[in-house]
Amino acid sequence: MRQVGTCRRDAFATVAAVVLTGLVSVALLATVTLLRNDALRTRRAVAEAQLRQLLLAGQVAASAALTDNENERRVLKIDLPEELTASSSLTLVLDPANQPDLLTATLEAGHDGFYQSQALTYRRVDGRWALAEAQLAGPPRRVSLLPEEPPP
Amino acid sequence: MSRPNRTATSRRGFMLIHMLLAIGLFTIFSLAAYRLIRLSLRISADVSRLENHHLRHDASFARLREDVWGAVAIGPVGKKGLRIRKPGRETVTWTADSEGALVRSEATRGSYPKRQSWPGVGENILLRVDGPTVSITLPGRGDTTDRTVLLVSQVMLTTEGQP
Repeated sequence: MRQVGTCRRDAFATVAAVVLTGLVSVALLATVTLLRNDALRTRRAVAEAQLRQLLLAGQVAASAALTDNENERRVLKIDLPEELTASSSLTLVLDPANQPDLLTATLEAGHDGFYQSQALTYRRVDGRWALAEAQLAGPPRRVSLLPEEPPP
Repeated sequence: MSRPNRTATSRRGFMLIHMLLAIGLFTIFSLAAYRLIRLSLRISADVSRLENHHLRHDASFARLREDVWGAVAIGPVGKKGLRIRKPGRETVTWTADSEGALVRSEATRGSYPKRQSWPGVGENILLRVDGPTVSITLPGRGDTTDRTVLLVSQVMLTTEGQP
């Protein structure tokens, strides 16, 4: 009888210990997940800020690259400062529309494994190209999800 | 005669001390276990709540950034709102409502307005317009100071720089 009683007490303590350990583990796991997600979010925010800077700079480069006679599709690689060449890239695709006074420019920026693009629409006003529309193509994405070559 | 009596009394005292010690230890263990369980459950709930808040916050700001980026005109709507005109016929209004939600209403001529809402994101938020820039001031919590996020309109930035 005494042995049975001891066994029951032992089992109670073990069950209590296992339940508490489980609960604490779940809380720890949740905290670690939150910290990890926060770190990823911070990294992503930094990359996104850099991508936006690249897109803003790219628009200036796109405006400078436009000529009076834009008849063909052109793909230009925009030169970046030395500090950024290893981690970033900026590509401009100029695509004349069917209308003579309309042109679409697509800017594709990449930085630290992230990618974002924007579509710019230029309209010719008084013989000069003027930016009429700018549209971000959704939030930044991981580069691994993208095809390596831009579509023709 | 007195010796057996003393032994019995001592035994009873011995048992009582054991009992008191056991009850004391059990109480301490119970209190510690209760606190631990409460803390664990609270942490799990807080983590889930924070994750949801982050997701809503990021999603709403990404949408707002996209709207501002392509805006051709931006105007204030009170202290907690913006009216964004996009090329074409679209007008988008962003407001923080009294329940703390950030609300986006998109009106296109000839169709019903679309409405999206992100609960909890617009709490004590301030939206200010300064030319092509929109600044969002988020109130600090506890020891943290207020934070400001700047959004910019690509089109307005370009057109303002042109002669």
